[in-house]
Amino acid sequence: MTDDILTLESLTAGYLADVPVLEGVDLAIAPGQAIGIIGRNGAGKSCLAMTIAGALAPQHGAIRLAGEDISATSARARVRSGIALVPEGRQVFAQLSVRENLVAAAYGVGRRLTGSAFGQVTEFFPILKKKESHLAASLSGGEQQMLAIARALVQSPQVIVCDEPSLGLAPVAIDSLAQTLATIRDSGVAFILMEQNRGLLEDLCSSVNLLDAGRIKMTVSPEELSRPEVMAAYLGHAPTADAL
Amino acid sequence: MTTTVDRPTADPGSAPRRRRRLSDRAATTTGRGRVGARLATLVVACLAIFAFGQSSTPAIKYAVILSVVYAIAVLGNNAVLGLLGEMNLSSGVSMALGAYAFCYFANDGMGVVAAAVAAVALSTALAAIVAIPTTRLQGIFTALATFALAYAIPTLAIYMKEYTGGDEGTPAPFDFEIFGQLVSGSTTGMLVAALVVFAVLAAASLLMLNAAPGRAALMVGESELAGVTNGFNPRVIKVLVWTWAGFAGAVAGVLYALTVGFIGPTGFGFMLGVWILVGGVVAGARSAWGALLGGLFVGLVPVELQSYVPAEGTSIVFGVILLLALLAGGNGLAQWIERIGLLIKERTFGRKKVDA
Amino acid sequence: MELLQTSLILGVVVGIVYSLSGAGLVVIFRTSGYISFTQGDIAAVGLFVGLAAYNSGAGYVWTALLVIAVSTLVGGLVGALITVPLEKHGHLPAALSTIATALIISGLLNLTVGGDPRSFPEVSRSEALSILGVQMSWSDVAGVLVSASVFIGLGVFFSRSRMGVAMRAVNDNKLAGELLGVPDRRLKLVSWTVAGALSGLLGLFVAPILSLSTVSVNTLLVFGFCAIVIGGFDSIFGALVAGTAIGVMTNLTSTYLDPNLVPTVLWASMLLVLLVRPNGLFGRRKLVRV
Repeated sequence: MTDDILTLESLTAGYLADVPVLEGVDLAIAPGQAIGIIGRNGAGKSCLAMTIAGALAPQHGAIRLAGEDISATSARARVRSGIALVPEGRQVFAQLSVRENLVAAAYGVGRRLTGSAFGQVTEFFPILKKKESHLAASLSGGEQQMLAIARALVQSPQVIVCDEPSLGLAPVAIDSLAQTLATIRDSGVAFILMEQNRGLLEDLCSSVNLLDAGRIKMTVSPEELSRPEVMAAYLGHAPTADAL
Repeated sequence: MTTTVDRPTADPGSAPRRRRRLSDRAATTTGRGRVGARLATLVVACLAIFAFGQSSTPAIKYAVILSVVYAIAVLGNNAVLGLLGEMNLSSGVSMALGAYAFCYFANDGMGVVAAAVAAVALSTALAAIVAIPTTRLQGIFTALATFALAYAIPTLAIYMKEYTGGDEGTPAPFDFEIFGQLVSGSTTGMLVAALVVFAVLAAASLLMLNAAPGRAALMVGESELAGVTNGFNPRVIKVLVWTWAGFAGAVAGVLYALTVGFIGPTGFGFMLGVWILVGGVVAGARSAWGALLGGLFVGLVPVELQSYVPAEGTSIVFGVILLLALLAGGNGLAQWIERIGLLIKERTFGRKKVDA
Repeated sequence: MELLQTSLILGVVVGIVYSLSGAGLVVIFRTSGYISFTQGDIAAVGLFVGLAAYNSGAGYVWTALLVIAVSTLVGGLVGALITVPLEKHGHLPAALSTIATALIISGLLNLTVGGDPRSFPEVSRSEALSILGVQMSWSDVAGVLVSASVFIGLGVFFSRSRMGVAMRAVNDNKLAGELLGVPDRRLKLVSWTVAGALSGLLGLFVAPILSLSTVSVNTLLVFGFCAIVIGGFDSIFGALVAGTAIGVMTNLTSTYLDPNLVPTVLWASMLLVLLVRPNGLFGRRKLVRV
């Protein structure tokens, strides 16, 4: 699997030194591929996102970007090496304008926000161009989500980790988000999507991993998500031995 | 609850004990709870200060009395610092108000007690009025507004010379007696009076911290929204906390005037507010008896330091101590002392049974 | 009438310098969200070093450059070694640490150079121009020009430059800044360094007027506080206007009322403005969306 852009090898991580939240997670993503992580609240999705982004240090295991172990590097180094995070809750710079949000993101990877980069990103999200000089705090939830994704895009990442991008969005907004993300994916960016919304996963991902209590319990294709035993495993009713 | 479950949960006494230990720890870090023990500590601390003052030279005793006076102001300021988490640099202003009003009323022919009550009432009312706009501010703006006020007071005192005596200052009553004891300067009566007043206010603030008012103020300090959703008006709570600080400051001001016997604008420079704030930070903003440590830090440490450090350099020592206190997490000396006390208690009483 | 003109015009002149004293504070505030109480002492260190150089024969230009260089260095060191590391305990401890630093520096200065005021060289006392019969020296003109250009520069920096935008971003949302790889520590150190330089610059204009002592620049910082609070912390332009207004107002107060009332008038107007507009005259209200 040398062509995988990002691989996680028996990754163990958590918020406290001796309390692992994730235990032995293995994943591999190729460029232009999107994989989904689905799981109940508290399963460890955000922990996984933060660990990949470098905000949490792994306790065991390795994170490899294009074959190179980056598990000991800082969040800043990871952003610069091509992993962008769209954090849960969007986390836009509320008192900065839309454009300034993007300028700050570009600054994070040591770049200037060129006109063409701005144009490219706002091609995906035309509304952001229209509201270029509005404060981020004045945007709607969906627009803020777009801004959070746009911020990741101006960093020209190889991998984008999206933590719950559909949270709080209207169904229509989710559909258009799915289309946009698909376009970005097809341009060669790898996606890891922490999601609860099945529609978004089905539209984007080639496979979905079911995360439960910090472990990947099963990997299924998006179509299989509707199968009763998968649903049962997700909801936690089925006997886990069979599922595995 | 008579079910006999035979589960291996160690000996039955350990769970409550562990809970007790946790609550003890929580009590040290939050400064709340264990009211009885804390009241006892407060009394012991006051007695210790009394014994220390009595056994010292008059000069040191005088510094001790002033320390207790400062401790009262520190106590008031600690409510703003420890509950609301705001920086008040104007404690010296409340002291100035109390002191000037007291001297004015006393020199105007009022009895000393009446003058003191009137002065404290007037100053508290003024503090409440000033608190109304001040509490509209947040964080650093509060610090700046109080800083500007503290900075204005000495010149304002000069300007209002009809009431304050201007540059020359104004004398304070020096022949006030309670139970035949002279309360002035470095007399024992003065020391006792200051300590009693401090003890009463400290006990009151300790009890309030552990009752509804303390809870309300803490909640508002943590999050105004939480205060609103719990049915408090944050503005009112904040104004009350600031008014309490102004009240304590005014009381300290009256006692300051009695101790010093004479007040002038140089006594109330903006550094006084800084010292009182710093005293609270170093000693611990949540501790009632800790305010006494804060007062000693402001009143006694500079005097004691003079034998080791030239007077111009004392602020270096203060700055370094403040920095160390901040590096230690800003919890203050009182909390560390309580923690050590807890550790000793656990070592001597707790461990044996848990190990067994 | 002439008295009025003089206090008005000279009020504008000192007012612009007042707003300069707010500039360094704004730089730190917009990056870190708290205020430094130690800027005056940082400037004082630079000024005393500069004065020593001047007395041993350095020209004015070299003296000025040395003052700015030393304050830049001291400002950067205070930020790097003391205040920025203490931010992990919160904003209040960080702000308090600047008071601690102020105490330490002023103590050290009192021990080494003493508290006596000294005279400090200035650009030139000779008359540069006269407006409505009020004479202004080259020092006044230089003060106004330098302050105004610093303010315009800062305004452009924070709204146009990517570093300035990133500084505001770090202050706006620390977590997001971290996750996006914005180097917040480095930006904060830059802000402290720049603020140090600005304090030194301010000192160059203050020291000749108030004469140099360990506290002289601190005195002016109070005016700077008021200027930025009244003007609004996020409005550089507001600080400039407010500073000028304060200059005129304090000049009028001391001419027609009493110099002793100046600080009180300052405080009262600051409180009044904050009552009416809590974010200052030109400050933007924080937009909050839940």
